[in-house]
This record gives sequence, structure tokens and C-alpha cells, in this order.
Amino acid sequence: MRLKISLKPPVFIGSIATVIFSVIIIFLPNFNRPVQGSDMKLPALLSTIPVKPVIGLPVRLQIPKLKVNASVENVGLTKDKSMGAPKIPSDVAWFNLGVRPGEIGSAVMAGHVNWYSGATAVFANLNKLKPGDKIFVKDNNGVTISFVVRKVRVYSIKDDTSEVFSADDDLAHLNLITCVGVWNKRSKQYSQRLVVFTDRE
Amino acid sequence: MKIHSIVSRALLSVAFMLGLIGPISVSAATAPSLGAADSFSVLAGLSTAANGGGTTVSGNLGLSPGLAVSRTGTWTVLGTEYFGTGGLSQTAQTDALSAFNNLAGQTTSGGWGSSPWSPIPGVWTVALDTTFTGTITLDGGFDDVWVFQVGQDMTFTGSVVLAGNAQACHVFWQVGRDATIGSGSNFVGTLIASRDITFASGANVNGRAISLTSSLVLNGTPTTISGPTCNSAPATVVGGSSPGRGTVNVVKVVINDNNGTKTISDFPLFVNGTLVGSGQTNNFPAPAGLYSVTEVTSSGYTRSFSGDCDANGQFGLYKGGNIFCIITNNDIGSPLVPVVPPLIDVVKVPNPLALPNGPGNVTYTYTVRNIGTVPMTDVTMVGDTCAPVSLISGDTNNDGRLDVNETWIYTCTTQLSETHTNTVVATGWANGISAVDIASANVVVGQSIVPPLIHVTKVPNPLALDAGGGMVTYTDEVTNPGLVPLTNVRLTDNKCSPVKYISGDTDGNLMLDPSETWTFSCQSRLTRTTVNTVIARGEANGLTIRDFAIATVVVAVPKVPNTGVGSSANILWEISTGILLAGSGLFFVIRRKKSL
Repeated sequence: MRLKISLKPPVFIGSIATVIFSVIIIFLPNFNRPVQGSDMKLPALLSTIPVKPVIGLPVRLQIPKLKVNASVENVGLTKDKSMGAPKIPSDVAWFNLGVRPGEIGSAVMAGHVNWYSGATAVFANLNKLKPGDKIFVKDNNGVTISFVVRKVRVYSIKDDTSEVFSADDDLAHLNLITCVGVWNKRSKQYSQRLVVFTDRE
Repeated sequence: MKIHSIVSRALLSVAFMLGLIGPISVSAATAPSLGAADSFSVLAGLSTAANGGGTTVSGNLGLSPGLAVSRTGTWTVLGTEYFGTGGLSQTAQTDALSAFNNLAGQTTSGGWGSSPWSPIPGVWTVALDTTFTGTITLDGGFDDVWVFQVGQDMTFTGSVVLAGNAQACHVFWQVGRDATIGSGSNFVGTLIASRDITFASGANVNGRAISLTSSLVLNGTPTTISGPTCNSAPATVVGGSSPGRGTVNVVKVVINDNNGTKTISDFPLFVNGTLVGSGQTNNFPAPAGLYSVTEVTSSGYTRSFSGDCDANGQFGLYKGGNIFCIITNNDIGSPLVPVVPPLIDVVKVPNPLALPNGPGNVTYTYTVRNIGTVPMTDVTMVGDTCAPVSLISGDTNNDGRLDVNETWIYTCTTQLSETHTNTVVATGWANGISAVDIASANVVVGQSIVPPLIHVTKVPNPLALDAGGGMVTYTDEVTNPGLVPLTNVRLTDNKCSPVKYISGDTDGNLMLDPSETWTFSCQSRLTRTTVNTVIARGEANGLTIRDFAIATVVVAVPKVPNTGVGSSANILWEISTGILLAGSGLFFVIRRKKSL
């Protein structure tokens, strides 16, 4: 009898904790919530960039080959200095500390490869893109900007990814990121990232 | 299949090695003889028309076989006009064709670049039609030649800029079909096109326009065709080298912004295979074709060139020239938290600036400042041809570090027997990053010429940027530490444009006077760690002088986003486990209550 009693409290606490954890999972699917990089910064940036044709904020990403037609969320950096990820699995996330798609430089968008319960997500088939495939971004002025895939590369999470976030060729690029590799339970992320590099047409 | 791939790999690697360590093939361009065409500014086959505002021509105008009636519009010809067959214009056409064939037959040095393009002296080729918009800068010595070959049509809009001692009479354009010069262009050199030449509007040509078989048309506002200007090298070579030689100074910048530990000595440097030290002034034969800077690379570092070197570390050397090649190594990877790079400044002033009565003593004063925000250690001064360089004052707290706002003064005295350019390279370290600045000073011996001095500093704000990068404002300050006002002061930044003049010409005379500080500004949006090199140029007493400033900005790069979920994060599993555990917990609670 005594043995039973001594076991009960930890089990009880564990159960409550699991329930709370599940609730968090349901309501806050994106752990890496942006802590900075809000829209507040944009007017200041706009005033200093010598923008010729004004390029709007991205609102839709379309990849006809993959039948992707996704809403664009804005993300900044998470607490651990990672680029944020979309909150909704069918959305993509644009890194709003970088340039806008169509501006000179490398704009970056991320999308989930899969979702809870084994569901697929927006970039489940991103690995099927090949050089020459077309990608379209619609901005909030209703303008569609088209991009062409240049190369596809896989990075380990330890690799230098400078070239994903910047370019020095004075051209406009859009780079798409999703997860590949194996799931690491401890770090709660995949071991690799697939990056599709595109150039503005 | 396997053997094939091994063989091709081996061949590739052999070719690669040869490319790296083999002799550099030099396609030196040569100036063809123009014969009778030399005296013509405008020469065409059938007709020439000045539509619009009229045209001024400094030399001769000729048509052959075209007659005088085919020269239409308003022309101001300062030379003589020749028409038809059997005269000077026909001889000129024959000689121009020979020159055209000579140009077309010269061995290429490579393809055309895009604006802003600074081709070294050589033969630059496009096989088909080409449209170039922007600026081509030709920087070289009195004897350097540029040949531009275009297989078919050429459309050029923009400017050809001569720098250093480059000569308009040593620039040639050979166009296989039609040539069009866009409105407002400043064109330089002798243009020989097989067919039509069209000037859109208001173009200026420092050179000649020759259509071998067809027509020359000038549209719109007045066009001027003059020159080409041609100066011969001065009798006395002003520079820090013996006659027939130039100096080469290779300057190393090392950036460890991602925990790298290499230092300057970890990257041995070579000029055409000869070992050189960073910052040392070396003499090499000149004029020569291409020189190439190479180094023993360290894995884990990227490499880039700036200053007088092109992207491949190559440069041309003219007689008496002073080449500075800056080579930057950055450890691969970017910091999550950016470190603050140091910023150093050195200025060097000789006293006296000239020894008109012949050999004598000169004392150099070197002023080294920390113009950044972090203290520097391991401050070195190398490359100077004067010894010993002694620290006189400045390290007020005697900590051996060049603290922010400290000014260290060094001096050195030497005897000069001939005109000499003395260079010093100051290097300091902070946070794993080296800061470098170069100062040169010219002393003229045996001539009553006071050589000019120029000095430039570049200060970025901010020096470090968080992930995602952002806008950086570079403030460039140009001063004149010499005695004579400088004309034609201009700045070129390899990573930022436009560099805008802000203020400083207080008396509005367009000359940088010794008391003035001219401020320039440039903004750039950085997304990765960037090293900018700015070159300031100025002229006085027939001499062009330069100074360099090099500034690093460190930019952090974000980690990749977390865009997936593992099977262990299956939401149903989480919920069902949660319910199961909660249920069992409840069960135990109930059991416990019951048992109590």
C-alpha cells in the first residue's frame, strides 16, 4: 500500500503536464514565434532603398508544377536567431528582415514539408522542382513577379547558409526553404534543409 | 563509364592546376598603323549626314567613294575635307581597312564584362551583336593598348573613362557590322565599323569614327568628334621604382567572424610565383602583360580581391606604376552574433615634399589612428622603404593597444637620390578581424615639382549588423595633407554606389585645398559580411595620386527555419497519450482515495 502512495504524485503531475503540453501544441503550432521583424521596420527601410519600380509586399506564392498556391505570412527571427516558420501548414513565410521578392538581393520564403498527424504541408513536394521551373509571387499591388529555378541544394543545419540569405550579383532572387533529412528528437528538427534558388525573370 | 569519368576528372584537375600555376598567357593588344586614316576624325564610304544641331570635327573629314554632295547637314570641320576616289580619302579608306583587319586578327584576352567594367589592357571580344550600357574604365600606362572586337553590331550607351595614364589614341573598336553610339555618350578611341555608324544625339567622341563601306549619321543635338588625345610619357618617371619597372604591393585582410583563427602569415602570397610579404613593396618588370596574385589557401576560408586586382587577382603593370592588390580571406560561415570589426587609418607626410637641388634627406611622419569603436592589438607597420620607423608618441596609457581615438606618431628619416614613392601598410587586430590602411607619399628629386598628397578615410555606420542585415551608411572623408590644391578629385568604391559628394569645398573652387575636408556618403544594404575598398584620386602639377581606404562590416546570418515536424510530434499521438496518462492519473487518484 505504501509503495503505491509514494508513486502517485509524480504520475499525476506528469499527466497534467502532458495535457497542458497537448493544449499548447493545438493552439500554438509554431514554437518559434518571431520575436522581432515586425512590419514596423518596413517604412524606414523603404525610405532608404533606391527603389525604382516599387515592389509591394508578397501576398501569394504560386508554383504551378507543384499545384502550390499559398498565402504568404511575414516572419522575422526567432529567439534562437533562426528564420521564423509559417504558423499554418498551407502557408509560406517570407523573411521580412531581408529584401522583398523582386528586389535586388535574395528574398527568402520557408514552408513546412509536413505537419502533425502525418499531414503534408505546402512544400511537401519542393524536392521535385528542377532548374527551369517557374515560380510566381503576387504582391499587394496585384503585380505578379516571376522567377525561374536556378539550382536546388541540400544543406546540413550546421552548414554555412550565407548564400541563401544574400547575393552579391545585383540581381533579384527568391530562395525557398523546407526541411529534409531525418528527424532529430532531441533538437526537435530535421537534420537538413532543401533550398531552391531562383532568379527573377 | 567509370574509367571515362576518372580520366576526365584527372584531365580536369590537370587543366585546373595548369590554370593556377602555369604561365599566364598574355594577349597583349597592339596599336595598328592607321596610315593616311590617322589625320581623319570622320571617314565614311557613301555618305555622312549631320542631322539636327550640327557637328564639330577637329581633324579631316573624308568620303570615299562618296562625293561632296553626300556630305549633308551642318559641319564645322577644323581640318580639310576629301571626297571621291583617287585622293587622300581613298588612301585613308585602304589604310583603315588594313587597320580593321589587323584589329580583327589580334588574339583575344577574353569576353566583355558588364558595367561598370574595368578591363585591363588587352583584346576584348564579343562574337555576335552586343549592347553595352554604362561605364568602361580604362586604367593603365602611356603605352597600354585596348582593342574591342565586335563580330556583328555594337550599341554603346554611356561613357568610356580614361584613368591613370591611359591614352585615347591607344583605344580601338573593330565592329563587324553597324555601330550605334547612344545619346549623351562619351566615347573614346578609334571606331572602325564595316557598315553604318550612327550617333543618336549629343555624343562626344575623343577619337575617330570610320565607316569602311557605308554611312555615318549624326542625329540630334551637336556632336563633337575630336582627338584622339595622345600624350607621350614624361621624360622623368615619377614613381617608386627603377626605370622599366613598377611596384606591386599585395595587402592581406583576414576576417575571422565565425571563430576562425588564421592570421596573415597563414596565407603565403605570390606575384607570378614570387613569394611576397603582405604590405611589402616589390619591384617588378614593366610594362608587362598580366600579373597574377596567388596564395596558399587555407580550407574554410573564402578569398576575394579588390584594389587594382580584378576578381581573379590579375592586374597589368605599367612603367612607374604603383599597384595595390588587396586580398581578403573570410572564414566560411557567418556569426549568429556579429562581432565588431576594427578600423585603422594611416597618413604619411614627407618633409620636404621635393628636393629640387638633388639628393638630400627626407623625414616621413606617419600618423596612425583608430577610427573605429574597438581597441586594436598587434599594430604593425610594414612595407616601408625607410628604416627604422620609430614610434614617437601616442600610446598614452602604455598598454600596447591602439585605443579608440588614440593617435600614434611614427617618424623615419632617409636619404633620397631619385624621385621615390614610399608606401606603408598599417595593420591592427580586434575580435579576430584585421584592419588595414595604406599610405603612399611621393618625393620628387631634381625637379622643381611639388608632388600632391591625398588621403581618404571610410567609416561605416553601423560596423556590425544582426541577422538579416540592413542599411549601412559609409562616410568617406578626403583630405589633402600636401601643399598644392588637387583637381579632379573622385572616389570609386568597389561595393557601394553612388558615392555622393556632401560638403567640404568651402570656397567653391572645385579644388581640394590643403585646409579642406571633403565629405562623401554612400549607402548600401548589406546581407553578409562585406569589405569595401574605396580609391580616392586627385591631380596636381601633372601628377595623379591615389589613396585607399578599406572598411569591414560584419553581418550575422540567420539559422535556417524549422519547417517540419517529426513523427513523435504527431498531434493525435500527443493527445491520445495525454488523455491516456491523464486517465491513468485520475484512476490512481480515485484508487488512492478509495484505499484511504
